[in-house]
Amino acid sequence: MSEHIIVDPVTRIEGHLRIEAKIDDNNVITDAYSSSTMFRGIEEILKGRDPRDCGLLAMRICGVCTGTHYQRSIEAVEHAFDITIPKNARLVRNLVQGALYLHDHVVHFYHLHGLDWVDITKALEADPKKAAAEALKWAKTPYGASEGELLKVKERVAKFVKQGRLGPFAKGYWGNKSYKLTPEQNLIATAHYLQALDLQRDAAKMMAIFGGKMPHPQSFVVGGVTCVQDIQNPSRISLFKTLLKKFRAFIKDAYIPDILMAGTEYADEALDGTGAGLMNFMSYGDFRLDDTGFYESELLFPKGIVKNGDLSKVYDVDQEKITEDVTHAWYKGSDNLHPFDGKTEPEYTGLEKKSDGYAYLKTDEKYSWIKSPLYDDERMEVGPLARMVVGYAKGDERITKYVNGFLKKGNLPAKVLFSTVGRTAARAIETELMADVMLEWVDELAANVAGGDLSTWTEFDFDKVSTKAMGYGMAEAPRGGLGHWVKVEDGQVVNYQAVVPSTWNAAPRDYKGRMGAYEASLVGTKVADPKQPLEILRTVHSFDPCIACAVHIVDSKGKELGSFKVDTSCAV
Amino acid sequence: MKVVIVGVGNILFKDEGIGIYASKYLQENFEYDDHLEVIDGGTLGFKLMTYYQDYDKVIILDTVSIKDESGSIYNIPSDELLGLGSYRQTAHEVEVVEMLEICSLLEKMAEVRLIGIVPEDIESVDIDLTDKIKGQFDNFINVCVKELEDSGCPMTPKARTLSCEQIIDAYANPTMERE
Repeated sequence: MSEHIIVDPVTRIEGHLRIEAKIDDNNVITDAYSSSTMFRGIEEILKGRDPRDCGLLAMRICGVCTGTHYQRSIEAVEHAFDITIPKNARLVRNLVQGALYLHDHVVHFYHLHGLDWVDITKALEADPKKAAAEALKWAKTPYGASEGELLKVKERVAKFVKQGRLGPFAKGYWGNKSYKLTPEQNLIATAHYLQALDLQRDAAKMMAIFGGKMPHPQSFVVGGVTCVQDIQNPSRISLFKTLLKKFRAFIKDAYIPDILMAGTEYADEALDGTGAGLMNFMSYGDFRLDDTGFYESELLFPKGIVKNGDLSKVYDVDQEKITEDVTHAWYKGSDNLHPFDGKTEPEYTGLEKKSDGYAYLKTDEKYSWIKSPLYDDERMEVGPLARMVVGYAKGDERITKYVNGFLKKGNLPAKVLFSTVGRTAARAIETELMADVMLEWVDELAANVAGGDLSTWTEFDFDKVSTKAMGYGMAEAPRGGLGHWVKVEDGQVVNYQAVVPSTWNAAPRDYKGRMGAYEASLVGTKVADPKQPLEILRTVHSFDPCIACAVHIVDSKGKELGSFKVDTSCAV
Repeated sequence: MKVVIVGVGNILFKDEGIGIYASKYLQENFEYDDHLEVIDGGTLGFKLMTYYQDYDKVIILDTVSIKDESGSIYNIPSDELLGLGSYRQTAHEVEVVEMLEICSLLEKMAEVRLIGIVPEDIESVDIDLTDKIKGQFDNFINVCVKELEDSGCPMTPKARTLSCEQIIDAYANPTMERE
């Protein structure tokens, strides 16, 4: 008899993600369904506006990738107007976006995903002396993992347990059989969890140096950047570099070693491809390395497509081949249309209450607010793994070096990449690569400015270029390919569309019944305890899901809070 | 004591923008001492952590989902919010409460208060507030002002003031710097 697991029932509209999985008698997932919301309506908000202002509203789509949406929007308009930005502007944008990658990836691994691999309660059983020796196995100079430091962490966690202040740890699936690290390894990872919490502030500061006031960056404009004073100020550049070096040390001596350590302990499931999913990977490409201009420059992350995990062939990406299918999404319509021609007419058909009292997705019909994007009629995974796989298959020198370096250190074959473990490792490999290349970019920026080039903005005749224009900003957010499309007539936006990375990964089945990336990655996974769907969370979290680009309300979940109500009836 | 007011919410979804408008209103209409900062946090997610770490007191302005009439205002201490997070059981992105829980492990963390209002409409895509919430805007501001006074943050109203409508309008029609 098959059993049905539901993770996160959708009870309200705000962008939450729900996974339903069916398991067989051996607790192996036979079918999985992903349902979520998608931001809709940016088109209506931006229609009729001055295209130079779109970024200010487009960045409100998402709270985590605020800056990415901002930049994408600006670049869609620059592409439409055929503007090539100056070198300083390109480098500043790369540095701000690069800092976002470092911030996102480190916080994702330690604070949003790490506890899917690390059993923090087991850290309390660790011997700090043995743990310090263990840390030396994975790094020559381990970050914050001496015997004394580890003992302190152990005591701190013990204190929290004693006080009942376990916060996020209170609801974990501790003791679950699919946790594989030793107590000592768990202690090392816990120490890094706490250290990363402190350090992540530096990454936020880095973004603010050239991005201006956080959390909403303001220093990018159509044509370039406005932070000309910051790039001329050597102390700003040197502060950026100092913060970057500090963060980079953590990446090299904590993050990478922890991933190697976990990757080795979980190697069996990496080797058998648990969580591999679609095996189709797409990268739009990003981070321009020269000033040739849009879609012509050499890129840090090359664009391309790898199909069926075949690393011997890379296909090109042509944005015209992107379509969206609504067969299983709560919208009207049947033809697969390019996002630019797409219609978004809701047709909500609801869930179905079954005899057990639970409401289930009607998986044969429509079951998600996310449309299913297709590339040339195929399903694609996007994100760090896609970027690393495409770069590796293309023989990109830098990516190949970092991927091979990692695999060699862990004595692992390349096929481990095609798994949940591999997806999580690819993010770490990318982070190390980014931290190193950013050091080169800071120096390049400093040298360029020292050489007398202070240009940060390319002039353009707005009235002339905006009579009739169309463009797109297609690049890579930390979570994967992000595209903004814009059409301008007589100085005003007439059409605007955005396809966010998580739509590629979290989408439902398509018109041929083919699964989306999350769905495909779950099928075949064995769940140790169906009451604790740890393996499902582990795989879905490995994609770094971000679907909450809708509303952000604090939910009291029915808790009695009446005594905190403020009486305003007699307020002045 | 370093205090920060963080307005949280998404201005694209009607009443969801109340925290943002209120924080802007407080920023524009009052003079403060140096130790108070006002931030438009937008839909911050995990980037909220930095504020919990860098300040002594964080006052979050947001919408709350409580079974009560829309427009009802709550001022909730962080202890009551802990435990409401669902990070471990869900697959979605983390927010105000989840970040609070993660940060509760720090040696030092700000005292956090949530001033929240029960919204009427957070589904329509529209940069505006419903009449119901607009009618409560002044009360919402008064609760914030009182909380700031209780936190030892003296504030002086500015002579020239912006109305709630003017603030919303500025968010609905933003303009970028032109060279």
